[in-house]
Amino acid sequence: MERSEDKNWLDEALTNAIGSETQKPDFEKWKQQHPEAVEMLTSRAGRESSVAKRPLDIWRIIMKSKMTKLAAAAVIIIAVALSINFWDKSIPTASAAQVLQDAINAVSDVWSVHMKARMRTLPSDNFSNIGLKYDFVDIEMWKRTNTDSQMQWRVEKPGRVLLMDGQNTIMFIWPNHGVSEERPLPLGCFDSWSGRLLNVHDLLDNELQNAKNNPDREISLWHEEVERRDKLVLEVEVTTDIAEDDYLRNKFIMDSDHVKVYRFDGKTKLLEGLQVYVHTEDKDVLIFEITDIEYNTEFDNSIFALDLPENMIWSRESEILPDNERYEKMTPKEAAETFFQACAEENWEEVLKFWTTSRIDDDLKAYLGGLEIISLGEPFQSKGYCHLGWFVPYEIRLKSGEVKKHNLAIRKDNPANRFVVDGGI
Amino acid sequence: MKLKTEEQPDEQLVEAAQNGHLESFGILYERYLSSMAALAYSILVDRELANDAAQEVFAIACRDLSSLKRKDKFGAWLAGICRNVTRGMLRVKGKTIAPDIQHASQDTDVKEQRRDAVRQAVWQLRCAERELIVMRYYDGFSQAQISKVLDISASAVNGRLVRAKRKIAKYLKRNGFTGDDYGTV
Repeated sequence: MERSEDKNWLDEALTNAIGSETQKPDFEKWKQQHPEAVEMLTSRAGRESSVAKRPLDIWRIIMKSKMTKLAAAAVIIIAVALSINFWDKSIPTASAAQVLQDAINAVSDVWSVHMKARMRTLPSDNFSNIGLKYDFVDIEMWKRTNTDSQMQWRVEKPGRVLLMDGQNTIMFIWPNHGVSEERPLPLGCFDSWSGRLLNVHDLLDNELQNAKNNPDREISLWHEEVERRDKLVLEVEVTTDIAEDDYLRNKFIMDSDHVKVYRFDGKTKLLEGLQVYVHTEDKDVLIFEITDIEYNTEFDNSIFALDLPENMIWSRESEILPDNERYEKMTPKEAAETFFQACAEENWEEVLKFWTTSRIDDDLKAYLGGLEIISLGEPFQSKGYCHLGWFVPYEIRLKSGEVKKHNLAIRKDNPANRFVVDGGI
Repeated sequence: MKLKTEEQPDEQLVEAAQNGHLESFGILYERYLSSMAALAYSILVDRELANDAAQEVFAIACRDLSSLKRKDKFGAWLAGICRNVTRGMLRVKGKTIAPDIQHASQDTDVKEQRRDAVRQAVWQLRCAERELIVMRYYDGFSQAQISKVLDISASAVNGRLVRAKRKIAKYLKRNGFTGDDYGTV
């Protein structure tokens, strides 16, 4: 085995760098130094007692260290001025399940939620898509139960809005594309991962059930003090079953190894924040973060309405074509080739057979029209994609001269059973 | 290694201590002192201060032991106190978590440079991973022992250790340190 693969050297290096000569426990000495604590404990002999809390003897600790004496002198002036007492508490560790249960109970009578968040995603791509190197995009989400006991919600980022007004569900994709369902769909529809977070009760209940059902799941819990308020921090590790070399690995949160860091207020028990870090080989990348949550606030009715442009292009279900059989028989590569060839010839009627909208947008025509196919690679599948979906590697030269190399996502899980383009353009 | 798991279970000792039995508390003290020092060190990056913090953790534990309901979670309960104490001390120190490293000059010994690089790599980890690595290598605690203090399953300890070590190895490689030259200089 090569030395570089033998991780014993790392164990050795870590021991050298961190290892310490053990402090020999000397309980007798400790007792002498902490007579009050000893007195409190021994006075309980034979009786139940409530223990009066006193501030931690921080001074003795600080003043024993030369390094901190000067810093302490400076900080004390500020601390006294602000009447800060950081140490007037000791907090027992609550179990993760109890923290989650408390947080679930805390949102039991919540009738509205407003969240502000940011995510490394593309402004117009779907709400679940992430990229480790993408910039953060702001996301804002609202949910309420209105006066008619009807649920309404809205999830929005700069290039996309997902709205359920109580009756219908619409996804608007800037500038004029849309998907419409004449029924109220649940949060999380249309792959809106972030939208699910608005169901705070269900979100936390899922975590609770997962914690109960998977005792081996990595969960850590600790307390923090922020602006003199106690906060509970719960970290939940999630491991994906998507292989490391899978094309979709780290392109969606659920297709990544990641850790979710929930923050709860120690007093109200309410969820106050969530951060998601994706684990990569050499670092953790913050991919999503709730920056603000408000509960039980009134929203203007206009939040749950959309002004759509007149020239909307709507998505539609793929219909069965008169010559459907020809398309049904296509392999993924043949479908990709037929699609790109139709674009090359500007045969938009043919292109439409691979597209899920009612017509082809002029911008798309201008973009793809007259392209030249340079090469098509061997199609492949991903465990993170539908089992009737494929990715076809392609390289094309656009009319502008730009060469584009990417993977065309196509799928045939539709009533017509033929491939349609799902992404990768 | 001081976490004596083969002896009386924590629950019994905690119960006895809650009833005023000081010797039982003494056994818990001996069992967990080193792990609290390690945990404090992962936050304070100062061995002397970490040792002092560990002593203070037991003063608070001794005082507040009656509030501990889950006696089997004594280690995790102590860890919670320890984090609180050390973060309070950090504020007083007026600094954030960062390795106390003198940046190596060109003349500095290569071994020392590597030691510094390892520490830098460790202190770049997320808090939960850093705690784990420090506990593992500060005094050689086993996965089971770490699991008890950090209140995560032994398999979770293992998974997190592997990930953290992979990140450290990557960091070291980026900074010119690999296993190839380890032990040769």
